[in-house]
Amino acid sequence: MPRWITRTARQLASLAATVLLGGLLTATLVRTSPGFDSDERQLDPRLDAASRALIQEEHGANRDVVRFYVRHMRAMFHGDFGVSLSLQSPIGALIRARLPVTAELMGVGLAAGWILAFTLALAAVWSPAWSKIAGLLSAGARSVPSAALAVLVFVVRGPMHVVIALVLFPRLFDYFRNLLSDAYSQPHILTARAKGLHPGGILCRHVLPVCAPQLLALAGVSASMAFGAAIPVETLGDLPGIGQLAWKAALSRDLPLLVTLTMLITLLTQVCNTASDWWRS
Amino acid sequence: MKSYTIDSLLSARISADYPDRPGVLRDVELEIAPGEIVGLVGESGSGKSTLATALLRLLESRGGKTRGELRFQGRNLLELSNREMRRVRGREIGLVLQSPLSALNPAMRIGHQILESWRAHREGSPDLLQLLEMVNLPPEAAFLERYPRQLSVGQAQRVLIAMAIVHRPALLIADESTSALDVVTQAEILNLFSSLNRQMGMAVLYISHDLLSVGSFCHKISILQHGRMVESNSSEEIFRNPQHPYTQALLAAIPRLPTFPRTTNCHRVAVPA
Amino acid sequence: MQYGVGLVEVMRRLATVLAIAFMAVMLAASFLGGSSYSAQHREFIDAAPSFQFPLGTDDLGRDRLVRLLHATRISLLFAGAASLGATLVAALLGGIAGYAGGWFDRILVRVIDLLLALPSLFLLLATRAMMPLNASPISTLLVTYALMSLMGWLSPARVIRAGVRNSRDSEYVLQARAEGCTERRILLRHILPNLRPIMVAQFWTSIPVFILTEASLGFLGLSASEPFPTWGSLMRELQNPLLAPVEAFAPIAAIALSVSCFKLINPWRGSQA
Repeated sequence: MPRWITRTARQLASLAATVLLGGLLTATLVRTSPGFDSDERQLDPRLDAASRALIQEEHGANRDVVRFYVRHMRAMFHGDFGVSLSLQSPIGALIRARLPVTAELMGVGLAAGWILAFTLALAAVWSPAWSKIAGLLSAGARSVPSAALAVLVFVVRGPMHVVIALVLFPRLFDYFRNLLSDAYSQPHILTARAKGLHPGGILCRHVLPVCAPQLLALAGVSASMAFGAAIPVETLGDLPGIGQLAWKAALSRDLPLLVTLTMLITLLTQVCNTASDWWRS
Repeated sequence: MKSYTIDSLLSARISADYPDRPGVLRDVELEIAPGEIVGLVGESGSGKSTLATALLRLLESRGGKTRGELRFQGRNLLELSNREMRRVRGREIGLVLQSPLSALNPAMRIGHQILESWRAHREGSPDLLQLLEMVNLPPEAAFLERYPRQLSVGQAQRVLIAMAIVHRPALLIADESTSALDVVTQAEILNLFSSLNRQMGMAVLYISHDLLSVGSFCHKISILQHGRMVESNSSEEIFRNPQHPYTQALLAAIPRLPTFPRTTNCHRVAVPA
Repeated sequence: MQYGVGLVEVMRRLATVLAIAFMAVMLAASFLGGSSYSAQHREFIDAAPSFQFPLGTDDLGRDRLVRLLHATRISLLFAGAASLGATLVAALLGGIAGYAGGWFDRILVRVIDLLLALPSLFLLLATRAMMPLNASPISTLLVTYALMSLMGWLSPARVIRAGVRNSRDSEYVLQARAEGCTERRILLRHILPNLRPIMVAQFWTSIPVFILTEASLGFLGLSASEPFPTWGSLMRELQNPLLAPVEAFAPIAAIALSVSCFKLINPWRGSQA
């Protein structure tokens, strides 16, 4: 029992460390990049002196990273993620409103991508003809940037979830195919075949139990890839999700919002990683 | 092709290719009578294991192609559909591989694996303890609960044999089944094959690189070189009257009892007192 | 089977030819009139393809073909440069970690794992977007690729570290140590030469990654700012794909072609090294 606890504690600790590091790194990068202190709104002649002073003060408050960060963390524990400078609304509310859209996009896209990749990888291992076809599909999907896939799917008016699936499919497919091909060339699979077992039975009882841990290892990585692809997809499809929010924040250079979003995404992907690690061991 | 009698259990004349290695087997002729023990001898790379997998039409799953004629109990196996072939495997022809510890699923108990062999073709469950006894394993239920890593190599080999004979197949193909064993265990397994052959009338195709072990218990021996069958005869004839130069070379390479060298040409060194 | 092997070879040759054609295009771009990629032909805004403008003009009257050619040069060169930088950093850090081991190795592995856990596109967005609007175009171009390079050394470093460790723990290094070779000699004669193919492979496979990442950044409007044409920033026209003409999709074809070329040529190079 104690070993289970220490292991979980260690995983949770590394989870927390990753998230904190992510936030700190972003803040530091932002702090040390040129143009941090200036804001073109200060050049806007339509704003009066008082407003400009307010903007200056707002940026001044963000100048000290440590102070900003500590303030931020303290506020977060109280459920307040701060206010978005560009969108003039509480970040927490923004995220809560937009999360379901992204969650649905991610969920369907991830599921479709995994199923597509696994089915084709299995077909590739079972039949050389399918191996060539699937290989070509994978190479094709891989050589086009995710933004381009989004554009192409948008033009044919397909559902945008397909884009996420298509982005994930080539990488997952290559990995699954190698994994399954190795598993099927094991001697005990030859024995199972020589016994006259049904191929489905061989898959379920001899191949999958051996492969399952390594399959799950990709859970976090695929989540991370899916979130990356979400940004162009939501931007193009005008879906009010987290990805579009990140893009808007980037365009209007909204520091608090970006830091929070980065931490949120990191947290989500690390939860996936931790969950799959925990299940594997 | 010679005209074989209807009594022949297996008569084959096959060629096999891999995509990157054509001509692994070239027109190899093989004939096994019911209840006969046939030995197949060849060096590494001669195509022996390819022949074993080709006879069960398992070469396709490795990317290879089998051509020719393969008659088993009157049927041409190369013409069967996948489903029909699956019914032949395990039930009418059994396969025992080498390196028993990797040929068993490491995550399944051996009782479970033997049961799976049975359930592949029939309902219910066999008399497992009697089966264990047939292969000289301890006939205890506790033994069936073990995992492959808890067995010795010899025991694992016997488990593989048990799985292969559970349906009393007419033919057992043993592919280098004793190559991973020490000499004593090897002799025990060969004895086991002999006794199973006598008890069940089961034909055995015993594939090996070791001519000596093959000669000790096979009725007939076939020699394979570079994918071709170069000689095929009864054991006595092979050993007494080898025809093909390769067979003669194999026989000549068999180590004999060492003759202790005489020291006439060696000067004795005076050892200081 | 022979036919299958031949087809792959033909495709490889075709890819090589295409790659060379690409390089030629790069060079041609520099002779097609220096800065005409920013020249705005105000009489020809949103023009359809014609002899004068084979790919038409965009909404500022700029020649799409000229911009595409210049973008080819910039994207390929900078992706190559970024890949070179990332590979060198990866080789340095990964090499030291793999060879020396100890605390440096442990810390580096931890750092890489933590950094890899961060969502790369979000970080790129954040850091790229923090550049002020009045930053010069050349600095945005440099910063974009420098950032990608800074995030791109993580995976190659892991691969290189593994390669160096393998070399260090290998039999041939053991042999060299047993012969009394100095560490310096072992490093120069045994470890570094085996590191070279890994580095070349990482360099070559990183280039398409940078091309694709820059494309996504550019589509979002966060790559090099106007008027520099990169494949990604040319894709900004596609933010309203239903309104964009067919010619605006040309950058996608260029990206797909170049990435496929890099992927296809790689194994051929590997066998040469």
